[in-house]
Amino acid sequence: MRLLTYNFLQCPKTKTFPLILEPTLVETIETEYNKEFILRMIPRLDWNLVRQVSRQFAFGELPQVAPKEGTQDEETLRLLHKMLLETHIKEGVLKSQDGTCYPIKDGIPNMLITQLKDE
Amino acid sequence: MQLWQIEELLADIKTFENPNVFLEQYTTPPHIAAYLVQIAENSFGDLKGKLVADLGCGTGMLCAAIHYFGASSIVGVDLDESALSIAKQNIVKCDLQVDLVQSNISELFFKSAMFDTVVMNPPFGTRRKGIDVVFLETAIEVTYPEGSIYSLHKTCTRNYLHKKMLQWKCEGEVLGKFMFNLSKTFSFHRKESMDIEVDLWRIKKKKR
Repeated sequence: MRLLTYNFLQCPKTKTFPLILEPTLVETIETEYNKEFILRMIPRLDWNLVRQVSRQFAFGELPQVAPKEGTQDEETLRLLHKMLLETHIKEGVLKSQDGTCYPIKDGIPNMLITQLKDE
Repeated sequence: MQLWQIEELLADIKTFENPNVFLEQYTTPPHIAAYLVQIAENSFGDLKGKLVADLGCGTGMLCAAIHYFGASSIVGVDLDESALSIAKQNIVKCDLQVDLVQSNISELFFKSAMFDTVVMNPPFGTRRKGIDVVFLETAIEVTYPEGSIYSLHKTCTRNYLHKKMLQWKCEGEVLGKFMFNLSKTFSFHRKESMDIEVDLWRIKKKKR
């Protein structure tokens, strides 16, 4: 799971956002930089969370205000690309505020709150 | 990309080993997957450079098709661990830009209005009545206001879905009709194969 996808996940049980991410295995996989895509994603992200994740993963300090269309701040956009699209969580856990844990195994978060049963 | 080229690429996608009856695990036939993505991109520009979700992705047939049409980021969601593990193999083998999430589509695990496009082949609702509608409701919830949804449904539900669209304040259009040939996958299928009529829908939220 890339960090971009993490930014879209909420707790299915309590509908709270964000979930706390505690990674145990992280991998970087390079992918083509697409400035337009990053710019389009920024308004959908919770900028406070993005800044926090940037610190958590040692990407450094992001500006207080999110870059907008027409920005000259290429450095921040490149950093966002690296962080959101190239950083993959392979193993770890997502924690909800009520303490519910959603494990991430082999890169796949398990967000199930009820078990499947045949009718 | 031409239809035959994409069909050829999709021929490499591994499908269900032991399909689950309850979950109605039918693989989207490659020619239908190819047609769907081709119309989504070439007629409407809904895939290239977009953030796309596939709800009920199974082993990733549609995810792969979406990838080959240039989506920037794809998230495939499924309930079933064994389907996801095959999807994972497909992603690695074909080097696809796809994230997988294990979740129940009826439990909202995505924030609202995140995805540019949702592409899906949900269960038809034969085994669990109304599950097709649940998938559509989730798709509408997670799609960006300007976004589009592509979804396959039994033709016999067409009038019912048209009424639902009004309730949901959405505009739905049937882009095409297919014969979905289901070979004898499950023991309750009496015939060796049967054809069912399936509509391809394109759904947009109405501007408020």
